[in-house]
Amino acid sequence: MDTAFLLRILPVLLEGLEITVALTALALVGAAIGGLVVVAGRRSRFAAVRAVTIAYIDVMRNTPVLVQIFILYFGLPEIGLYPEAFVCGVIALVLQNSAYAGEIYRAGIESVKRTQTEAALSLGMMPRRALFDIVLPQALRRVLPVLGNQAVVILKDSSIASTISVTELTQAGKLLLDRSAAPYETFFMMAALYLAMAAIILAAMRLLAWRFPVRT
Amino acid sequence: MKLTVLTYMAWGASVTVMLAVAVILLSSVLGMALALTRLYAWPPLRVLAAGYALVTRGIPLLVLLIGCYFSLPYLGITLPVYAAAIVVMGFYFAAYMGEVFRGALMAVPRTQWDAGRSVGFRSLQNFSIVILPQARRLCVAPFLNTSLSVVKNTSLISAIGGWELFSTGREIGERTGELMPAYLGVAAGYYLICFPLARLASYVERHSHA
Repeated sequence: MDTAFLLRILPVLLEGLEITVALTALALVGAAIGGLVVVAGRRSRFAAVRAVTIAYIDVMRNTPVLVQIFILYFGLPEIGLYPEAFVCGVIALVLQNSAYAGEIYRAGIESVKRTQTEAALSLGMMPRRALFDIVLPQALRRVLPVLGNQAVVILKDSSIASTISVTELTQAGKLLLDRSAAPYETFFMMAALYLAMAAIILAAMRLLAWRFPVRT
Repeated sequence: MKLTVLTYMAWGASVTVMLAVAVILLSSVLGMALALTRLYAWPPLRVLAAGYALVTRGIPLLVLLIGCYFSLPYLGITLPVYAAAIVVMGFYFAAYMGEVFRGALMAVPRTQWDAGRSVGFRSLQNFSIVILPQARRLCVAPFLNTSLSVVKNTSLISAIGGWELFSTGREIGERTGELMPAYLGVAAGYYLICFPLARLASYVERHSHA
């Protein structure tokens, strides 16, 4: 392995990494919020809203991100919309991961004992306040590790945006692979950068879990 | 016309299913080996297996597929696309399957080991007669969910030139110029393959608590 070469390709890959970080960060925030909408819909008191949400989760979980990205990028122009490749990547990641995040939130909420809600209501809290002040804080703490894993999934799935020529890390690496005869170095660098990012995400989640421990 | 499009897609879907089955089989075997290593092997080997799982789960599958596709020829290895894809995905999902099996094995209460020993079972007997059957029941739902993820990820094989369900959508879209229906058709294809798996997983999940 040629270290001088590694240093030479690093700037090119770092440029890609910037886009990967932007993609991942936007998708993370979008999915974290989208997940709340999904869980609200899933637990709605209206049967129709519940049915639509369940159908949405079903479709998202049972189709690949790759297909969703292609539908957005190549399909939308047929109905007169021309979103940028980067935007398509973010939307596809948010759509898919909101469904997963929603299910994770739901598991957390359902793991909080009913007696907690009953206790809060008997203290005179309004149902909404009981949900936001009593149930959600406990639920979110419990699912932090799972959310961390899902965040890593988002980071990894952002690589799929390379298929619609978003020049993020994978695409930048692929272009280098096409041009240079040094596949190991390029591949090693790409893998190392993704690993570093995943490590940062997991460390951040550890920190959050330490700051907001599960109290029993 | 419509019928030929559908049969073409069905052909692609059958390739997807075959690829997925091959990957699930390979990753299950490797994953079981990983889980056993992590739980019962010589400690340094345990660390190695844990490291493998950690590293593999931090790298995108697409990067691994592309990386192997580009670097294998330099090693003088010329594998057919499908073989390379199955091997890469097999090793990749082994990390996930390993977690599934490890989680199930760990979920069997420690007292079950003690109970087995007190009846006179040796370790290996104890494992295969007492622990494994209980763990097997616990791992069905997560195993199905991981398998579903395998099916979805086989679509990435198209990125290194393998032909499967996703490729049919691309080809049909390009030839007819109707991209939206083509990709929606592909989405429907994946849905039809994955939906039974998801249903089965949630059914097992609901009925295993009792």
